[in-house]
Amino acid sequence: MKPQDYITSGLLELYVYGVLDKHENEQISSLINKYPEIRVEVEDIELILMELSTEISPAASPQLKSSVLKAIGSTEVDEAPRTSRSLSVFGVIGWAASLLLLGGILWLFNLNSNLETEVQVSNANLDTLEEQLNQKERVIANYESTLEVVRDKDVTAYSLPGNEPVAPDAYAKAFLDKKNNKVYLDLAGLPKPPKGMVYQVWSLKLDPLTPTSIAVLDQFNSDQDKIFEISNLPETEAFGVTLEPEGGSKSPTLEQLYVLGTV
Amino acid sequence: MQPDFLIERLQNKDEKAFAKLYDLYSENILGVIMTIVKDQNIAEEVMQDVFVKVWNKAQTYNKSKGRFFTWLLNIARNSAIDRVRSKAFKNTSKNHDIETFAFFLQDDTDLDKASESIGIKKFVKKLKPMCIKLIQLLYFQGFSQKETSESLDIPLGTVKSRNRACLNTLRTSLED
Repeated sequence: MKPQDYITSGLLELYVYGVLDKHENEQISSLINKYPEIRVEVEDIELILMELSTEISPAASPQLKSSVLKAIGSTEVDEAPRTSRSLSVFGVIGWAASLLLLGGILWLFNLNSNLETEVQVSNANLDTLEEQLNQKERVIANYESTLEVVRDKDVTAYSLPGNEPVAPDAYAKAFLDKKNNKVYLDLAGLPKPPKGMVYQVWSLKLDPLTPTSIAVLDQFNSDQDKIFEISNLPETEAFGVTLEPEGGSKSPTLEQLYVLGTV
Repeated sequence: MQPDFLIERLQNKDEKAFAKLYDLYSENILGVIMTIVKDQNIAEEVMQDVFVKVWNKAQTYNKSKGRFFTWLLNIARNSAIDRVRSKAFKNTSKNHDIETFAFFLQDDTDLDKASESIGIKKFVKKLKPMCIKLIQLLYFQGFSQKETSESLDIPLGTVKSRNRACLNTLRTSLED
């Protein structure tokens, strides 16, 4: 017989009932170990039989289990009521633990997003600080180069005093590098030009008086150190700075001459 | 599908394992005993005897020779039948008119269980009277095929196949 033949024969049911003779019983026992499908069938039969007799069973008296346990001399007490209570305690602890865990997860999530925000803010601050640092470095580099100019043995410093009728308090300095034909004009002593007006720098020859425009300082207000480098100088005997309308003029407006000095 | 681990511990006289096996099997064993003794107080007394025997004889159970359930069933049936045959039982029993397990599955016997047991009760109702008699004798009373064949006056060769067909009707109640 094949396993399937045993399954349909009805012998397995009688095996679970325990009503087969010894020989048949041994035969089925060994088949169960050999064929999983037979074992599964036997278990299914057992299940329906247990179901059937459980349905028939009346509700046992509550003290029956204790009495059975006592009869075998067990020191175990009937755990049924305590088990159900301890289960509910475990249940409560379980729920509490779940809630705590959930709370913890939410707290961590919140903490994490706060930290992320803080990191973003810190990064932004860092960027700002880096930018400020770069700016300071640029300023320092600028000062250093200015200092180098001032110290340069080939550079001569000249004062450009204020023009008494127009700007008595104004002053300027010229650092003339004859070797490289350059001038660094320090105009920090000039007032802020009015709106629509710019300073214009002139190179002057004195005899005859011949002005040549060498720079229109339309970036005067935004310049940090007010030191202006002007290259490719013509032959110069004096520097003058006048206030001119925006864009500059072809010839200096002498009524608006702020500083003038010979070199 | 059977709690081999608990059974091994029971065989080593583990009281906790015994208590757990009691929880797993006591209800359906009480049902089996009820179909034979037909009285709850007596059934509970018999069940106590059964589980004391389980405790004392646990070593005699051999996994390779049969199901633990079958082993329990044999002890329960034999204890119940012994009780029914005793003189004391014959004097006190009032339920001689109950013939088969089907009595205990009538709608009005146990209101508490009515809702859970609709499935299997419904299928028990579908069983032919011959099926109820077959299951009663083979399962609950442990009759051999030959005894069953003689008692019901059916050919010996048809007992196991008829019984299988009857149980299959019940099994559809689990599958549904």
